[in-house]
Amino acid sequence: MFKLIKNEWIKMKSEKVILVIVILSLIPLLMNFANFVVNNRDMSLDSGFYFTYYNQYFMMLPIISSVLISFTFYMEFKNKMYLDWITYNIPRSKLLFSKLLISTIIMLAICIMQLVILSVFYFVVDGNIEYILRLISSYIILNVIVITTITLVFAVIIQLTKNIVASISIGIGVSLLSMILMAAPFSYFIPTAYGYRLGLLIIDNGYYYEGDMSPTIIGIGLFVLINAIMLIINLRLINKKRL
Amino acid sequence: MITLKNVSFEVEGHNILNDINMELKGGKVYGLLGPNGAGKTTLFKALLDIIEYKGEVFKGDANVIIGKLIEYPSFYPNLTCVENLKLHASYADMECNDSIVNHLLEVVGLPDAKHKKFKELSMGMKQRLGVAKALMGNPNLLLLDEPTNGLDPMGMKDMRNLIEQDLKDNQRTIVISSHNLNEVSLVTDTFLFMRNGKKILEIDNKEDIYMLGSVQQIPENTIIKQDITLLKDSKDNLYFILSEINFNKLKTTNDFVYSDVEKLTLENLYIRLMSTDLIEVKSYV
Repeated sequence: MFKLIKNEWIKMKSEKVILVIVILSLIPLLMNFANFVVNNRDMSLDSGFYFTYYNQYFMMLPIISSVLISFTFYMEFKNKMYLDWITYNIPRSKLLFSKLLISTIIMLAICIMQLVILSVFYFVVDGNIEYILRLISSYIILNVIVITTITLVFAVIIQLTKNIVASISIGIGVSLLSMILMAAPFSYFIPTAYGYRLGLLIIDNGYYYEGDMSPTIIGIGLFVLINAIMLIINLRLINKKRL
Repeated sequence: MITLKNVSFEVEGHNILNDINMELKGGKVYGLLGPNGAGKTTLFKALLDIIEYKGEVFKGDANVIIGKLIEYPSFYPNLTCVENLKLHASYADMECNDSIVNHLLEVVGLPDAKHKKFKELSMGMKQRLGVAKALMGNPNLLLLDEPTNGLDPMGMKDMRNLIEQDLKDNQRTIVISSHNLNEVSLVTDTFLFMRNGKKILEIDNKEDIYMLGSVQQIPENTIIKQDITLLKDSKDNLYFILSEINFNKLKTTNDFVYSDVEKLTLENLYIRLMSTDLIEVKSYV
């Protein structure tokens, strides 16, 4: 498996898309640094630097995750390598997981890089360790839920459409839909929006859903269920023999 | 030897391969001929076991290694020739070090392109790299789909020399699919003609001229009989194909009753086969 992931990395690093994704992912951070320098030096988690960053990053995250996982598959279609790639004497499930994992690993690297910058920034400017720990927890929850869901869903979409433009367009659509509905009382039905709200719960529980435990149960349950279904669909698509 | 027995494949009720039977022997080069949509590439895919066909493909040795160049030389454009070949070797779990890669690039005439990115290669060089990839692991079945696609006359000649001088050996079966009849005829031992998913004729590549005619009676007890290829049309009219030499010998015998004999080049034979419903019959009537 390590060899397959390494092979995916060799292919991905030869493409400019990695650079584009890193730059895109840094836009919210850079915008907020500029805002911090020019306008607002509010460092509070629930309404200051982190909150604004968190909202903007949430808009960007589904887009960059969907571009990344779509591209890992698309480079096989675009370069007419799919037939070759799929016919090596390697279980197709392993081939699938190598793509899912390389996409996740790259996103993880991007997230860690941003988390380190954020933590160091908060440590230097604010110095409140409790703030930093809550920030880290909130950031990890958002990323785990959104990246896992988007990676699995868009692995299905790109395998079905084989079209990067369609896949990215849907990614932008998902991002917009999540943004529009993230404040809705029923947004726990949408895993990405639920990830946003659950991440904010660590910052201020006033941002979470009202009522008993049902939003949490439904939110986490749907997240697990949708991802399990997507994983099964992915395995079925990759194992489909007809080419 | 690789044997295909009653291999069929259909998509949405449309027969792409229709009851294909053939034997592919080691050390021989087969030329797979037919128009677009005849099923040539699909037949390759059946040999690669990547479509759900009906029937059986016996590969004899369970460890048969298949090298392939299907439709186009496909590589990652931003990786160099060496990186692409090593990546392929890694996926195929083949031993691959610098000397193996260098040797392969030497064989296909690309020793100076090692560190060139694939996107920087000319079409001919891309085809050669495709052959180098197909040759990795020393395959005993080599499938080349349109290997001269996009090549200029020099490139075609180089590819022909490569197949004749470096790829042919006693153990390896090579199947070449091409529309370029002249090129294929220069390297092929046996022609396999396909039409509408069917194998319609298998004939050795011995002659430049083929005699095609209608036949009413075939002489018994003649050694030439084994060289006669019989075909029939949908109305069960019987036809023969013979070399010019054998036809001249046979026509002197009294019990060979025939009519409407034509001299055909390979190209004319191809056109005749593709524009009629003639199909080879295995047994004499």
